[in-house]
Amino acid sequence: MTDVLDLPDVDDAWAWTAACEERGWGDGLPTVPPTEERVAAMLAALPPDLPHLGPLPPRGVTPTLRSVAANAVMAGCRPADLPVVLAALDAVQDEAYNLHGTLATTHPCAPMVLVSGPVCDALGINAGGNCLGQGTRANAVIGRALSLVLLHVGGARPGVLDRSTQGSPAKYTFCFGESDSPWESLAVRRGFGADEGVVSVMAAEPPHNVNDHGSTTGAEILLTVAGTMAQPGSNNVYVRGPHLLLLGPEHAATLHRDGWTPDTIRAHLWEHARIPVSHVSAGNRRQFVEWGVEPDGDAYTVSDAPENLHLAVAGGAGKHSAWIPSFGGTALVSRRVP
Amino acid sequence: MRIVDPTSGTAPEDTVAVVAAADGAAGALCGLSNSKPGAHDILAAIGRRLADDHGLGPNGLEAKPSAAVGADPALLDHLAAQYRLAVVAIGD
Repeated sequence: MTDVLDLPDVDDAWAWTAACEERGWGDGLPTVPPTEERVAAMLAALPPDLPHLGPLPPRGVTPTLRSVAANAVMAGCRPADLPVVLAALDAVQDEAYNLHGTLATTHPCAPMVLVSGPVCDALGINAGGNCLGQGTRANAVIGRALSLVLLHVGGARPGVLDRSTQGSPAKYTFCFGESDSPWESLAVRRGFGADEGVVSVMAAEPPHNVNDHGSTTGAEILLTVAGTMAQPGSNNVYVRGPHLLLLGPEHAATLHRDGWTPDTIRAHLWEHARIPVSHVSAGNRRQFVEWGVEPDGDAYTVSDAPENLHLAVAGGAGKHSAWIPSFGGTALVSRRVP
Repeated sequence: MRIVDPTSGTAPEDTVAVVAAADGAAGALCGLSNSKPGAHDILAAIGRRLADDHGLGPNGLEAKPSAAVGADPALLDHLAAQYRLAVVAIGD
């Protein structure tokens, strides 16, 4: 069975966009037509030892390298971006990531892609200023390509099999780099080499900003972080699971100067990021019990273990960090970029 | 313009039909809850209305073990063997 479609009269950009709309393709933004030539150029640049791709929920169709490359073209990828897209696609297929649940849920989670290692510089993946925002092609197209594969091949169409109540802007694209850190990088702490390109994925909410311009010590910064994390509307409160603290480099430098390490930061936040029982409604408390979650004394923890808080550094100048909660029923999964 | 179909791939294996049991609850309607608080209530109400207004029943009520994961194939096979029709609560 051929995977080639002959679409007459769509050589014009407007006509192509209209043709995509008619077929239910795309994320609402214009795409690049995945011509046979462009897809061939993508595939020609692939390295050996590519990951095995399995069926994608909710539709259950197994993508081919050609269909993944077609979606990468549509997203605006360059051939060099495709291995990162494939590594991310492999990572979200790990059972622990819970792809089916994360795509079909009413929660607004999106597939977050954190890229570590030299591949960031090689591809121009932004780990610095505005790394979570617009303006960098690699960040924009790699995250978008993953979302398009899950939409087109997986069938996670908004309002149909993607049942998100409100969605989030992160569903368009959610990819950024890990910057130089005063500690070992997240990828190295997870067992990869410093010279390896690594993607780490998690079904995540968009970042929650942590603004702290006043604190001058690490302990003070962590007080603000703990307060930001201690909110009762997070999935992590009762579904539990992973969450990510993305420290801006200035906050990270202050913490490092004061002797904090990723492990001591996690332990401290585990003890101090607590949600008072009085901040949780009676109905929600009953639901938490159904999920097996009880308060620890007069407060709830923000997840089920300090190890579920992951920590990385990214961003530019300024006194901001971000807390990124997750769907809860997911995992932070890392894969080496081929 | 010739393009590579971005939706293409290998289709899943054909669905295997499961023969409904000849006794027990077979022939009845099942509500499948996503296990969220409102789903159980609305499905129970739908079951009562279908029984009262249309004489459909007996009606069962089942649930996924967790709202955060998809229904296990074994659960779907079980439902297929026990019931002829399932109503799935997609609201919360």
